[in-house]
Amino acid sequence: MRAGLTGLMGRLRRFRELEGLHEISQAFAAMTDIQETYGRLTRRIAELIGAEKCVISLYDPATREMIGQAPGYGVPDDLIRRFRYRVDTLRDAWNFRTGGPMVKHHPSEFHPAQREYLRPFALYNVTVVPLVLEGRIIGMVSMGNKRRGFRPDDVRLLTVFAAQAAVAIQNTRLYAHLDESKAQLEAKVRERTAELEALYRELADSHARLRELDELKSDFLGNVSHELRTPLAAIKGFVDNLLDGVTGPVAGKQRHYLVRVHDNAERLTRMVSDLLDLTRIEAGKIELASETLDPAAVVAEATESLRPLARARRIHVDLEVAGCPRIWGDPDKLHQVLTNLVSNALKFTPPGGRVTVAATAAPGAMARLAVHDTGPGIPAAERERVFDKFHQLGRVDGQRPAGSGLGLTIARYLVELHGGRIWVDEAPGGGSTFVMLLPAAGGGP
Amino acid sequence: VRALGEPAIERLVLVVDDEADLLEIVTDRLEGEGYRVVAARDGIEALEVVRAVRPACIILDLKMPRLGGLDALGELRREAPGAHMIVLTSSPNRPLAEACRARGADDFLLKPFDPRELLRLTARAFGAG
Repeated sequence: MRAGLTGLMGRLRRFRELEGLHEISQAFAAMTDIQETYGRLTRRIAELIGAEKCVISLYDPATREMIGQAPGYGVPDDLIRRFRYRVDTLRDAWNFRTGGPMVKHHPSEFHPAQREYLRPFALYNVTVVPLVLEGRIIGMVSMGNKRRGFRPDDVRLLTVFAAQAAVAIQNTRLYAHLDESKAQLEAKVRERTAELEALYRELADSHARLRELDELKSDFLGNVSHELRTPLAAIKGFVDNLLDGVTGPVAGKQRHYLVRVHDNAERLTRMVSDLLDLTRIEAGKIELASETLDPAAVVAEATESLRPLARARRIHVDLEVAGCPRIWGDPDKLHQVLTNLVSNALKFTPPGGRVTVAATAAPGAMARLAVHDTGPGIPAAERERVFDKFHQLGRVDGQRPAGSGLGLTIARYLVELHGGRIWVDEAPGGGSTFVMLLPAAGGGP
Repeated sequence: VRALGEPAIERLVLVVDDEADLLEIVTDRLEGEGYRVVAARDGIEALEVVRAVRPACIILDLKMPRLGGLDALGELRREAPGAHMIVLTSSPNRPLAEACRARGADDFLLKPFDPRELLRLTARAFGAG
């Protein structure tokens, strides 16, 4: 019965120890502040064992000293802070290298050298257990003044505690180191962020400057166009008045000269328009209207507007429209493209020739618009180059080309802006065929 | 109700442009077609003319000193609600053309212009076209 009770008490005590250790290990895991770690560790273990005093010391390899770490338990902080001794002086009292616990049950057992150090602590018994981490001693736990003396259980408990404390202290040091690294990292991040922000501001500034320049360029082009058109309007206006007899009859060579002035003024006007168009397109400043269109109507309209020119050049114009799907696009721009193609065809076809304008369906939900002439055709090597800026082909009548050299470049840009393609083929029986494919409305992506 | 004996007033056209050359070209052309033409050099002069005589047609440039065409349009429209207003400009600009229409312009013609087109639009003011 007695033995049973003792056993029960022993188990209860063991349970409390484990509970205490568990609590301590939980506390260890959560501790990141080194001061708080020492304070709580020493209090918990001293209470668990029932001793009056407990201090943790850390070993400094540089000075070979054990240095007291405040706060401890039952010992004033200033006393702990002054507590430092070289391990060499301990050698006689405790074999430091073996790392085993040292238990002194009575002041008479204290080593003379040790007695000197321990006097301020007013100790009558003491247990010291090293803090061992990965086989190295990093410090020690000193516990003193247990009223009924330290028992082997206490030493064992303190040893287990020391093993956990060593890990906890190392963790705390790592945390501290981590904090430091984190602070460094944060400083670095702030620095980089500031650099990036500066860079971003710089980019934003240069972007704003570029946009300003772009707008200036746009304004400039608008102004240039306006400034060029004004004197051109005067030249053409006076010549028109002369040619139309507003100031009386004009005949012979004079009329011929005036016609030449008129034609060149018109050419210059087209050039100004084309240059402005091209610059707008290349600057991405052109906006397409989006309408569903009947290509047959666009083709008919463009052809109709050039009938007078066709009649003047005695060229027969055919319209072939069959089953062409409706397309999405900008009617003005497509009119411009078709007018350009048809007037080119008229220019390069000798009198008595034939120009055919067709609008049909093409595979892949496309509309196929084609302008076919009976002119001399374009050599294979030149077929791609006709779309280059300022590329000029010789006219069939031997005259200098009357265009700006930009019409087909603009046409290609405009067709591509519509999601289409344009190219030139050799026409069966000679001549050229300009073909464009445009996505059918509703059939595209 | 207009009297039949006043064809000169019926065919009155106001041309507004700061370019003397353009004024001369348009004036000569219109007079050659039997119109009577009054010229103004900017929007302010144009308003004075419109208040003094009542042109059935106003041909108006946009870029002018003192009062430009775009700013003058609204005022001209209030002064001469029935006049046919044609903007004749060197600025090929669709939004600008729309702004002009919104302020009361009836037609928009780009310089250099086709004289036949100008005559066709002018004739509209007098019931043709």
